[in-house]
Amino acid sequence: MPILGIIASQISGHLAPPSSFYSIATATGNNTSTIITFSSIPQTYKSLQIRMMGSAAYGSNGNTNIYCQFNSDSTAANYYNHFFFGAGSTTPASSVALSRLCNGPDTPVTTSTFGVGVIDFIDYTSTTKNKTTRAFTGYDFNGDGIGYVALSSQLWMNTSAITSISLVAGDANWSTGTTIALYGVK
Amino acid sequence: MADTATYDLIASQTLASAASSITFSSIAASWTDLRIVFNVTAVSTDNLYVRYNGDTASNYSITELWGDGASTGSLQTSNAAFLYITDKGSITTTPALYAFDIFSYAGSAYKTTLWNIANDRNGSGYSTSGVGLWRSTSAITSVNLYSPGGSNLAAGTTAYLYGIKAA
Repeated sequence: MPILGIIASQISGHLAPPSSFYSIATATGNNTSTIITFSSIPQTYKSLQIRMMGSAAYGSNGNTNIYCQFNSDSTAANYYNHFFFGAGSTTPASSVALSRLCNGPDTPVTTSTFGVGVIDFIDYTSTTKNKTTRAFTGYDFNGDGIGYVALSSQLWMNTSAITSISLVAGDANWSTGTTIALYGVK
Repeated sequence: MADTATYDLIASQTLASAASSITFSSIAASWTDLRIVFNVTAVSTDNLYVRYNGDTASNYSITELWGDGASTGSLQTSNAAFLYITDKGSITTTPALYAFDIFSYAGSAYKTTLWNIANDRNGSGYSTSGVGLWRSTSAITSVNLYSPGGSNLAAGTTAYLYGIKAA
């Protein structure tokens, strides 16, 4: 049991039993592939969540979009995406439609800085609904004009249960240090 | 794929009287990510900042997106001495929800945090989403949310610290 210190007035610290949130699998980048895939995803949860810390192509400062594909479906017309974002001095908020895109963490400029994101997949086992997901992603490089925070929605126009999720780095291989973890919620 | 239960409540706090800050300290490196949820009511409207490990040097920066019903905006800070969470603060009558995700808090990379603020005020209010960077490779062992103007975190303010461990 970890020892936790609490500094504030009025303390009520304690440990609680585990919740209904389960770690399913974790994948890492190694500079050799643009794709990280979770396959054979158990169909025993209500929803899934991906928590990621990642980068692709150090030093480019480019806009490396993160594509999200389900069940190996790479047909662009089957996906749609909307998002709004803030980037400091640039357009405060906007929205665009892009096919097959899960807008995600962008490219860092140093090996110590990564983009991060949380993506939720609700009712992924349904065989009657198209699949809608949401993502909250961002990165910050100390205010040099390329920080970015975004909230996005993705639609996969397919009623199949999701059995695999691929995260595709748009411009380069997933770098070493990239960690993408898949969780299930019961 | 084997699964393992996680999302552990590590600690919680409830203020019985007004305070200027809430700190979780001596956080063990037992999880992959931290999630912290604050439900803040204010004594008076004030900014809210966050520091890690008591670091007061200029190692923080943020990028933020906000909307208040009438307008939207985005701002950035650089080389700041804290994570600039909001200048809109909380108010005395309705609580504001702050939710932070701190990724790989015990890892060797710089630490990046995502946060959302939800603060509806029955006709006014705002929503904010932000990302912040702490340029330190040290493991985060303490998190301090503070109100720089004084004891503006009101009685009843709650804070919950969770740990999420990847397989």
